[in-house]
Amino acid sequence: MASSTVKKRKGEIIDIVEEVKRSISEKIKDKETLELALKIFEKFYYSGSRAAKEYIREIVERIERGENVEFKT
Amino acid sequence: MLSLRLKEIEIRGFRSFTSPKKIDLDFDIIVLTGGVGSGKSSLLSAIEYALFGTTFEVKERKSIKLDDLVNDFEKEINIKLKLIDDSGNIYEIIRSKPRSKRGRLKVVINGKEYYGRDCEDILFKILSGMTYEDFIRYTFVRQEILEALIYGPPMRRSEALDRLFGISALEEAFRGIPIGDVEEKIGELNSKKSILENIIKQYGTPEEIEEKITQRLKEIGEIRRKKEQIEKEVKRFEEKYKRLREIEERYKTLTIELAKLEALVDSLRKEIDEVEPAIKGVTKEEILLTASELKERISDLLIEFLKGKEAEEIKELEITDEQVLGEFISKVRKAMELLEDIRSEYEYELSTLNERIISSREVVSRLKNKLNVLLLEIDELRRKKEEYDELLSKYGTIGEINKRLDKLKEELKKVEALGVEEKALLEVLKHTIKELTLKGEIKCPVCEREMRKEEYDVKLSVKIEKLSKKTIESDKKAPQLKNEVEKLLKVLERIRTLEGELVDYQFKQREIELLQEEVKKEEEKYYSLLETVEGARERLNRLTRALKTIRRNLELIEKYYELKRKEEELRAYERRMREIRKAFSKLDYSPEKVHSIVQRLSEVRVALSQCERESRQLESSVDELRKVKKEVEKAYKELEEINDKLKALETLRNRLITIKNLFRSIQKEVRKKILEKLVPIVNDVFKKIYPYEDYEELDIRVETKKTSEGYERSVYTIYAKRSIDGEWVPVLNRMSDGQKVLVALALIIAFSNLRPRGISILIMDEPVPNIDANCRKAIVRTLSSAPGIRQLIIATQNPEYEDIVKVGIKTYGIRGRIYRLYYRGREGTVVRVAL
Repeated sequence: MASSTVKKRKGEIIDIVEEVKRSISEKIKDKETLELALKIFEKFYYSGSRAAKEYIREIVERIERGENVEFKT
Repeated sequence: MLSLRLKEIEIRGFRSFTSPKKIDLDFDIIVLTGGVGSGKSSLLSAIEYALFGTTFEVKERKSIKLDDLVNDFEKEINIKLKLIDDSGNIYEIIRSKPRSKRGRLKVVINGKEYYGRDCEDILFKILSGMTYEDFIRYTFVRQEILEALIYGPPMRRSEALDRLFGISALEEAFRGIPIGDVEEKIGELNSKKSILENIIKQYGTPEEIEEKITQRLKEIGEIRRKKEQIEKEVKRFEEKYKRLREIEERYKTLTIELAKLEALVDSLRKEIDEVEPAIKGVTKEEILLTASELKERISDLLIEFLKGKEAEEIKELEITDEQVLGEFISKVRKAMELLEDIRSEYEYELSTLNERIISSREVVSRLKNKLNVLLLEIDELRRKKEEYDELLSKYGTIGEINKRLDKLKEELKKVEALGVEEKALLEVLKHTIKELTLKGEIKCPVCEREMRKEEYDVKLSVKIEKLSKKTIESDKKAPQLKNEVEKLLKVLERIRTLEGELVDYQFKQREIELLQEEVKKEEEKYYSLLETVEGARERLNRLTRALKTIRRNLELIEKYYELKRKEEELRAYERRMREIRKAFSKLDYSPEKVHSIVQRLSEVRVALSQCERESRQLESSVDELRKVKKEVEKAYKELEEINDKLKALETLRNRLITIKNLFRSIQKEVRKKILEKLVPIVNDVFKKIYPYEDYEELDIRVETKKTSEGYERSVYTIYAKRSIDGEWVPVLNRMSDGQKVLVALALIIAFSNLRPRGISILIMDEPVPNIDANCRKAIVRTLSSAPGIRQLIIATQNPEYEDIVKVGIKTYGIRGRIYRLYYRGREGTVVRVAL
């Protein structure tokens, strides 16, 4: 499920994901690190540990293959 | 936002549901009761599956696969879930999944059907963006969450709350970011980098390698020029060598021939030396004469032994010259072989004759022995014949003897009878005389006439005397006759015996005569054989002696002939040797010359080989250097790539470390923010549902504690304000299970209010057993008054929960339904309405 869909939800008094993202954004100044952190959190939150770990391993494999890795949410 | 609630569900082929079941869910409170395996959880999972296409067991626990959800007796799952919103819109979610195939989704909104990929998005919109994670956190409250909140130790309770709040994802991220994997890759790349750096260090830069290649190519050029010069020299020496090899063949052939001739000459000389003394002083004429004589002798012998044709052949040969000696010797040898054969035949014949002589001698001897035996027998018979003849001449024939014997027997009988009569008469007379003597007169005992002594005394005495004489004579004659008879009987018996014995006399005499004739014949034969043997032996001896003489003479002739032949042969060999020696001097060849050429050729070939080897080595070295250059260039490129990768990975690692630490550090902050908003809502709910007066307000505080592993963990502690003294005390240690359930429900409901969703139901699978009536009432009150929750479904084995429905209907007028579930084998789960 796309996180954008999550963002569209209305009427919530509190949105945990948004709350976490806000905290992360406050702490991380580097844009790419921030994007990576948000992506990892979303993966852990919505898809579970296994999928999140798989996502990070894919990044490592892409680097290993010499591909240019950019982190964008 | 739409507020959805469940209206109806139709289930077929899902877990324990075999046959189709339609269950009305359009109630505020629904309690599902039944024993273990009755299908309560299957019904709740069917709702979960209809909404999200998966279940907690499949997605979270991973204890089963989607295919395991298909009932054993059905081929596919078919679930239709109807929902209704505040405006009365009906939403039908229809999911089906054949075994071993992908599931299908159809959505019907107020009768309008939606298929395909977009269906999931449409459903997501219907649920107002509610995710599966949201559903399992706030809607479908499983037993383990309630248990963790109510009974769990502080750490577990905190984990459950973090899971409820969604903060657990941060902890999972902190723990789960695989920095080790990144570091492992960095390590691998560093190892590769080290290997590549070593390669570069070992071989130098590509420019340095290229410089080496140029130097090697220059060396190769020099060696090639040197090699060309050596090759010319090799060619020159090879031609020379070839010419010498051609001569060498001839030289070797002559050398071998000369060596053979020298050996033959030596051998011939030795043989001549050996033969020469035997015929020393013998002239050609003597030999020719001896040969002529020998020829005559052999011819005579052959004629004597009836080999005229062979004798003619020898005789025809004219011995006038040494040249014919060879043929002569051959013919004589042949003749001798013939004579030897004859001699062998004679020897054989002689041996046969000897055997016959022995045999004949044995026959003669045997016959003579037999004759001797017969002669002895005939001698005995002759003696008996003489006795017989003598007896016959003395006593006559058997008839005559018998006649005489008969007479003698007659006479003996008469004598014996007369003797008896006379003796009786004499006795009578003696008695008469005795009587007369006594009586003087008596009657005659015969005629009874009166006798007187005086008358008859003398008469009687004379008579008595006469009678006495006769008696004596008779007594004398009778034994004589008896002896004579006995003698004659013996003679007769003897004659008869002899006659019996002499029956074979004549036969034996004839036999002796025949035997004597046979002996004579055999002896004649024997002597004839002896004569024959003697003749044969004599001829044999003569032949043997002749052969001996011929052999001796032939040997002499042969030796002479052999000597002459060898001398001729020797002269021929010596002539050939002289020719060979002349040929040697013409050849202009010597092994030393060849050896010198070979040595020189070998030297230049070695030099050539050395050049080729050096050239090959250098070429190989150039190839190697080119390969190395390529490798080094490749290594440079790879190193560059590895450096880039390493840089990227190290950046990633550093970022992940930063993120990992951040995920841990922001947890406290997020918790604080959530609790700031959550606690007032929790208290609102708590005040409404808590029926007791011991506590009036709740607070959730976060404290930092160290885990057994040494990590710092945030632990939630629920405090309550005690009514009696207004003190804040950790409340969960003091409350009953029922009170704790109410606190937990307050938390869940509050959190639901904090995050309102499209679907306003609360599903509880096996909440807490053993709650009292107050609690049950409180739960009903909670649900009847809780904001955001419009429908409660409880699945439990505890029938007391049915009271919740009863109380709700009775006290608050809410709509409730109790379903009792049973499992009926092939029929699957059966649902009965209890209220």
